[in-house]
Amino acid sequence: MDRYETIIASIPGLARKLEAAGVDEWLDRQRTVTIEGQTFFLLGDRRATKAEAMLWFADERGLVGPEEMRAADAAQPLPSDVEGVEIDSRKGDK
Amino acid sequence: MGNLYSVLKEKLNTIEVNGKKLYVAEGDTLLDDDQLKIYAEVREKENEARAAAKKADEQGFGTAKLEVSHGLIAMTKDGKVIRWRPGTVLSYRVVQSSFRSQQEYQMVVDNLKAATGDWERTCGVDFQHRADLDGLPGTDPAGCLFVVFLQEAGGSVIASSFFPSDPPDRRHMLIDPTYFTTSFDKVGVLRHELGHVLGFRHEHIRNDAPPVCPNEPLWDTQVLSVYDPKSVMHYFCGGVGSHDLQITDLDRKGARMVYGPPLAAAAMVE
Repeated sequence: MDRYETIIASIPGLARKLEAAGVDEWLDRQRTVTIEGQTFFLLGDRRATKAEAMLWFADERGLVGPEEMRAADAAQPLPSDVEGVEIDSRKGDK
Repeated sequence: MGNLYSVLKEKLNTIEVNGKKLYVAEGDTLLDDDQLKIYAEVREKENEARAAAKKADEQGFGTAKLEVSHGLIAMTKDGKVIRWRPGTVLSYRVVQSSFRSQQEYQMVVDNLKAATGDWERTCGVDFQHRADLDGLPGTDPAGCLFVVFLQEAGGSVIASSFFPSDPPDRRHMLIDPTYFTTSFDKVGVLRHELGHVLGFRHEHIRNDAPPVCPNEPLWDTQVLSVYDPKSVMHYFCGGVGSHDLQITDLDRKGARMVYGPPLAAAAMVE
């Protein structure tokens, strides 16, 4: 299960809302590219997995709020060579 | 229908996807004929609004935005900006056998060298081209952090990359064949894609950008500076953005908040 599949699964009722809103038909209309056997959806210059594309759809249609998305994403691990840092953008250049 | 539709219909490049003729607008946006009509109509209305505002300014009763809007947008997770850990060497290889000719391969190698150099002079990041691995078959990174290769994407994108938060097996930078014919600056396109590699999102998804620009989810983002319509991360849309995709002063300011000053500058201070 990828990061975005986990997010969908962890937001109560989201999978059902996606289905009711016609996510499958929307996915069918998106352009795709296949790399090493895996299909990605092209959203602008972003290559999204199916689950990530579904979350774009959910966001666009207002099926899920930003706080719910952030909370669901918080539990997902980052790759070991990546970190999160607190940056106060009001302070300006380092 | 206005004149712009006819002009665009004549001037825009077209590609055929599944037997349907599509117009390529703004580098990586595909429009069918109906969409092109709407696109032209929106552009004409925006141009009229801009011309009216300019005229008002010239007559001395123009308006000015007083509030500070917020440029470069970083990806976040749990309220924190995502970046490569300090000391990470952003190594890459360019799969030579994926390109249709030695010239195409060399162009991408040279342009990546220029684009990575631009980012290295902007903030504290270190790219490394492992040319010794370019001759290996397949698209495995082969020990590099990411891999660059030619991939037919139907012209729907010029190039496509990844974010630091993507899993390591998705660290691919794709170059579509349209890269070699695009009217956008070819080094600039790679500067833009490398901006994503560093964790920067599109500038045009901010509320300050023209409404015609594509939207994206904003829940995992943090703005780093004021809105910059000339940002390297801004698509050419709604009459703003640029074809050369240069790293602007505001981009530099935002990138340094995340990665600090260029490593060469830091080494000189030490």
